[in-house]
Amino acid sequence: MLLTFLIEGCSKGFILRIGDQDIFAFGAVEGCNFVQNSQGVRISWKSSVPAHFIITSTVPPKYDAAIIKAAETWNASKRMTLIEVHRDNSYPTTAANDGTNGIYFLNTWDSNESKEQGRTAIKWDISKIRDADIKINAQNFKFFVEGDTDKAGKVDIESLILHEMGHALGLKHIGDESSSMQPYLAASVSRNSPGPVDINSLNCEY
Amino acid sequence: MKKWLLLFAIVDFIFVAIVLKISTTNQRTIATEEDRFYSDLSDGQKNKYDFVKSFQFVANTEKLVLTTDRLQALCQTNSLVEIKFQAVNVAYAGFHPSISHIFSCENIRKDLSASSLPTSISDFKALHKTSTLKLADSEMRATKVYPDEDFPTDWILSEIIVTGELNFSVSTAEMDKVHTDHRFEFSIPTSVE
Repeated sequence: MLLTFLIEGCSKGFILRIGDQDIFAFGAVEGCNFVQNSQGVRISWKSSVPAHFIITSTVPPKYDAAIIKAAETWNASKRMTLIEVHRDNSYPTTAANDGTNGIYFLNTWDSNESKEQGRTAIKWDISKIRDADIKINAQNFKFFVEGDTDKAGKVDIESLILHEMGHALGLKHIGDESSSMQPYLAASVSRNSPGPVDINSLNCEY
Repeated sequence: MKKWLLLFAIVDFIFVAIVLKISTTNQRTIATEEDRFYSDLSDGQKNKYDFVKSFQFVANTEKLVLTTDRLQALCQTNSLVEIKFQAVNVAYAGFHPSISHIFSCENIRKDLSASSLPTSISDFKALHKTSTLKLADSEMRATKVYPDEDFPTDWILSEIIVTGELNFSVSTAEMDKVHTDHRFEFSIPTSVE
């Protein structure tokens, strides 16, 4: 009885005193709004730019010009060729972890994620991207391109692709109002140029 | 001939002595750096460092188990312990897929000998198809784990989040600082998916 009391008493008497401020790992790498690996190293294409993207047959050809323009906008903002895009209708219509980068319009989308306008997956080895795929939610959204007059309820495809290409370069979401990497793009709104914060981010890796 | 053998033995002896000297000197240097790092920490940081040092993580084909002899002490003043696992080589929309396993301290306190937080691999993989899993004594939640994407194969125990009287978390960087051999990484075979 006494022994039990002593053991439990001692056990309950010891309190682990750790607080929010007690961080002891110092000198973390600056993230620059890039995805980072588990060691905190930024994920990017490193010197393997330009990244080549294939416009698959799932994408209506009327959107080609907007997609190419989005790539050119990223290239112009950094004054180097970061992304190249071309159409290949013979390319498989489903994304795969195959080291080739595709752009897909999907007419069926996970019902739990119906508000997602697009999704870009990047896969890497150590800290270098080896595969990226951009999927656009064509089931739940309609799109407009430059020159269209009917924009009501539609998403600017150029702005959306610009945003997804930012993810494909390794960027994360950011709340800055000038950024093309803001998490939400409202219908009929165009946000088709990277902000200063995006270019500063790119300067960390490219 | 004997002279050459003697000379060879002497040279060999000197070489071994030099190697031993260098290796022990380096160990002492590393130990000193660790000691200096530790002694420069505040009391709270030392507590946290010791807590992280106590972690033992085992991953096999059936389960993932984090063990710490401080679990009961941790739960004396806190209410939830969350273990967060993160996929290491894939991101969707800039986010790593992650799976959290949240344990209630109320349950942990019921068994004073409990020092482990186990996660079954089958429950872990079940989160490929559902975002939340309610278990008898805990709950699991998945973020950015999509049923229409491949289930990530390579994962790491990335964070411990403690909620209660003293809120704090242990990051990957802190675990790496204490355990330098990345023993918190594991793979989930997809063949049995």
